[in-house]
Amino acid sequence: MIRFLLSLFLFSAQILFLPHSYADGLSQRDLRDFETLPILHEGRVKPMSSFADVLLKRFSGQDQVPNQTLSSSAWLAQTLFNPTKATETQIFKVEGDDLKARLGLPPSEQIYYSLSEIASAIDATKAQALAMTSKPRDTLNKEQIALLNLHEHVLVYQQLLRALSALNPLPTEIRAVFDLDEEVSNYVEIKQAVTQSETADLSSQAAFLLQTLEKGGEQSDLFRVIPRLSLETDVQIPIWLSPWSSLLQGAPTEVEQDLIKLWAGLASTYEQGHSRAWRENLRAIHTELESLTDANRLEWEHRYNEVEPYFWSAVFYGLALVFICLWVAFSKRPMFYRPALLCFILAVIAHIGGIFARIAILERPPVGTLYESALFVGVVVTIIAAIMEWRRRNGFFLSLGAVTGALLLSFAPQLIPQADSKPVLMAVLNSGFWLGTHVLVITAGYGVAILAGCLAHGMMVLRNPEPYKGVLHMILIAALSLTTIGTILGGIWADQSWGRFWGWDPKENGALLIVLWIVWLLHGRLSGDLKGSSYLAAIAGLNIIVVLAWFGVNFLGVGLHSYGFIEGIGYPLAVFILAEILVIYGLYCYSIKRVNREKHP
Amino acid sequence: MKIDHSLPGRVIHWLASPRLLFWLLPVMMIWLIAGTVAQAQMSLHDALETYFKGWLIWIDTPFIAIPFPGAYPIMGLFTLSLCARFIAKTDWRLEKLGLNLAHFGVLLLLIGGFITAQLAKEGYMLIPEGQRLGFVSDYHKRVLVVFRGNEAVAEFEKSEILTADQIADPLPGLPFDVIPLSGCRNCEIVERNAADAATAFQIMPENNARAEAKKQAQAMVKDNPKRSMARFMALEAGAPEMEDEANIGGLTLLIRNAEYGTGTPEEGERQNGVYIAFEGMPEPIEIRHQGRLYHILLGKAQRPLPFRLELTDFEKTLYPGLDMASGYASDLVIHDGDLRWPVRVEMNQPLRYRGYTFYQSAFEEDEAGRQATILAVVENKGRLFPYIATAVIAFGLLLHIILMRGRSVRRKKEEGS
Repeated sequence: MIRFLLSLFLFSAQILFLPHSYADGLSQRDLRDFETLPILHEGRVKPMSSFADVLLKRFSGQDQVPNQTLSSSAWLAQTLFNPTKATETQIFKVEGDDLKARLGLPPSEQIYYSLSEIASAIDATKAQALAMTSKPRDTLNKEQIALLNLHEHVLVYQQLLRALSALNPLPTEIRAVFDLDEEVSNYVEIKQAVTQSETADLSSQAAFLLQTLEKGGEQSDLFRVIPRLSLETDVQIPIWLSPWSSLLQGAPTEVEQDLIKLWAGLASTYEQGHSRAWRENLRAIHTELESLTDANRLEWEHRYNEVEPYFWSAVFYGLALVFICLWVAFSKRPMFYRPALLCFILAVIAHIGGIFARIAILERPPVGTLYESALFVGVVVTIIAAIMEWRRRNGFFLSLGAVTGALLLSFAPQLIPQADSKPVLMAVLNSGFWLGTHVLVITAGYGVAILAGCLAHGMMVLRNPEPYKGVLHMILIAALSLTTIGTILGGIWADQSWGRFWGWDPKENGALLIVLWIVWLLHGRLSGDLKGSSYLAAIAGLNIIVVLAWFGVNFLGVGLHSYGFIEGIGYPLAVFILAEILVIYGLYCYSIKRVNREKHP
Repeated sequence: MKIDHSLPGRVIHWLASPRLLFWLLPVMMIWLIAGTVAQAQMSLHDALETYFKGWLIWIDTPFIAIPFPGAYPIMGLFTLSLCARFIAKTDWRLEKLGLNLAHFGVLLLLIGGFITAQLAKEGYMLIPEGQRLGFVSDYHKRVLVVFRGNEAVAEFEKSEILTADQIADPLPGLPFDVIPLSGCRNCEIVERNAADAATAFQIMPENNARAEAKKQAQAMVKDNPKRSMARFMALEAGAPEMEDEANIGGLTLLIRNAEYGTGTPEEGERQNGVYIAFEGMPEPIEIRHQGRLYHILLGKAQRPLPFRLELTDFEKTLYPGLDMASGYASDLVIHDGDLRWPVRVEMNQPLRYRGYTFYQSAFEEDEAGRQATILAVVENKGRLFPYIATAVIAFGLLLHIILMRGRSVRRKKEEGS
């Protein structure tokens, strides 16, 4: 039932939001089956569109080719099948005059460069980059890191350019000299034919060309699209190889040979621009791989990439906020409230749909990385806000939910590098049980705590916050329960993994800080030291505590949880904290003034 | 509730007041933040020892160091406050049951934490494939051990022999003089400058040795011949590693009055002099005294186990196409007397046997592909406290929410009617 609903969600969403992408005469329809081809990358089998997205975002920071209408999949197809043209496509992001000067590029507003534009600069700075790889990354400055990243990106890109060079390695004119049949297409066959040829001079030239190609091909294991099944065991889990690896390792199986021919056919039909033959080749590849991959999961992931549920969720949260503002501005007319509520509900549905899609795609609980925690925190806040809004229908919780949802979904991808690359998890995290308990509970705790903080912000603005005091207290107790239980579950997990319940690890301390803050709030209320506006201001400060615990400890880069380390988070974190302190102080003063005015009219 | 106006009563009442906790909690939070940030600036072990044990800490600021209460007073006061709350302020009505249970669970957690801090012993075992091991190595404690043949005749903790009282004095209980002169926590082994033999040895007595003991130790280095590896190498203090177990501890020692026994007096005398000992040294210091062979080496303290573990196979599963492990597992055999018991230890699935718990921590692989498993070993009598406390806290909080909700519904009904 869940799979049916998921498929329906993704299918319907795709119909509404079909993008366009064209490459070398191919249409979106032509690329469709290419985008769902399986490839092993970063530890898991994913659709080609995910592979393309990850690489293009890594090189350019964009999900389509900058300044063009080329989608990431179309760009990948061009790179694989028309590498000469691809080297002219501007995809490498080079920012900063210092870096440009180091690369010998003229200072300009141009940010994106093609491989051909920076090739000589890359060669010239190769020695510097090599020297930097032996140093710890945190000892390098920003410019050095940018140069190192650029070199790494170019290396990866060069692998991609060479990925299919094994399939039709000789130019047509040289093939003609050796009178090679069309059937003789891949590197191994050609090498055999050429070395057996009687034309000695050309044999040696061709052999040199082939040798150079082979050298490059030995390093080419990025494009793993050829599955190899072991003939010795009954276990049908393939090892995925690149075309070069498959040929160089020798004795490819029948499936591998067929696939290599089909990929060669694909390259040829792309070159000739034969759409129909291209699509037939793609369908044949899918048929060959049918029994070896989970085609449904690949399809879902591809549709998830196309639909971008979180982008649309953020858009709908934003629209909901706009309508609510209009509703308030125009004396609360229902004509603005209803669209606001509809947009908010659509946003929450898209948000939840995205979460379930990730569970189905990654086959694990939805929170395993920092980015996923941001998505989950957002959905917790907005679901509770939606329930509260449904009961009250006064726009208050809708506003809170919309603001929080929009902010989290907009900022998370900016702050967390390679946010949506869906990486595999480290061994210690590879536990469905603990991911589904500790991580979900503590993340839900962050979400509920943030909701309490946002509610307190809102209550300081309201003329009459009394009706919300009861619900604030409930939310605070719920936040305390979830963060306490989540922290303790984390301790139990630590006891099972590392041999100690509590080790004063930064992440553990951060979670404890949230618990202590809430306990402090409750005891302050009990003792009378925190009341009225000061109590609300202190609850509003919970947002700062949660952000510190959630992101700040990752900034330290130490401890057993340091797999979430983020470069460059310090500055945005500091800005947020400063801004929040100013906002809370401003709201506190406003609240005090309002209370005094009411007491002494 | 009646208030006891006697002094003890007033103290308990004050300890139990929410106001105390209101003022104590910010102190606790500052302490927590300081200790957390310190972990990025000093080695983890040092940060834990400084901030999360002890009575007083000094928080460094750009201008001055500020004294601040340490873990013992803060956690002690917190625990006392909680106990006092139960004695003086507990509201035993049914509607407060959830809250009381939650508080009780926290108290259990604190008691368990205290027991763990006092009694728990941690260490590790590095077992190469095909080999058996019957001891646990300590992460932090380094010891100097003197062997006569295969028998350990004396063991000295490194931190204790580098005190002001011990430096330049012979270690007790040995048939010849072994005199600690200096040591380093994380040593760099450098080439000894032959032209400047005496000053090549840095005297770095730890724990603020007395000035005269320091001078005496320096003179001993200068006046005595250098033996064995000390002829070519010296120990210099390097910056401590973030992980204390990665530090290479070292000592500079003077050996005196070692009599060869079977050889000439000159041969005996050729043994006496200044030596260096450091962790992982390829060969221990070897001394012949009165015909018996002694070995002196420095290493991590070891605790024997009442059984042995043999690693039959270490399995590392990689994610396809990546050099990143998706899981590790060690196939072991427990050799306990006549018992041979095969077991498997994996990530998140430890082995518990005879009061010890073995966790899959890490592994090593040499260039030849030979693998060794690294198991974290814990002996902790307070292990069950967190589990019991968790259950009590969770139940208490949930009960509190249910009771609160019920009260709210009842109140709304009363207001409605």
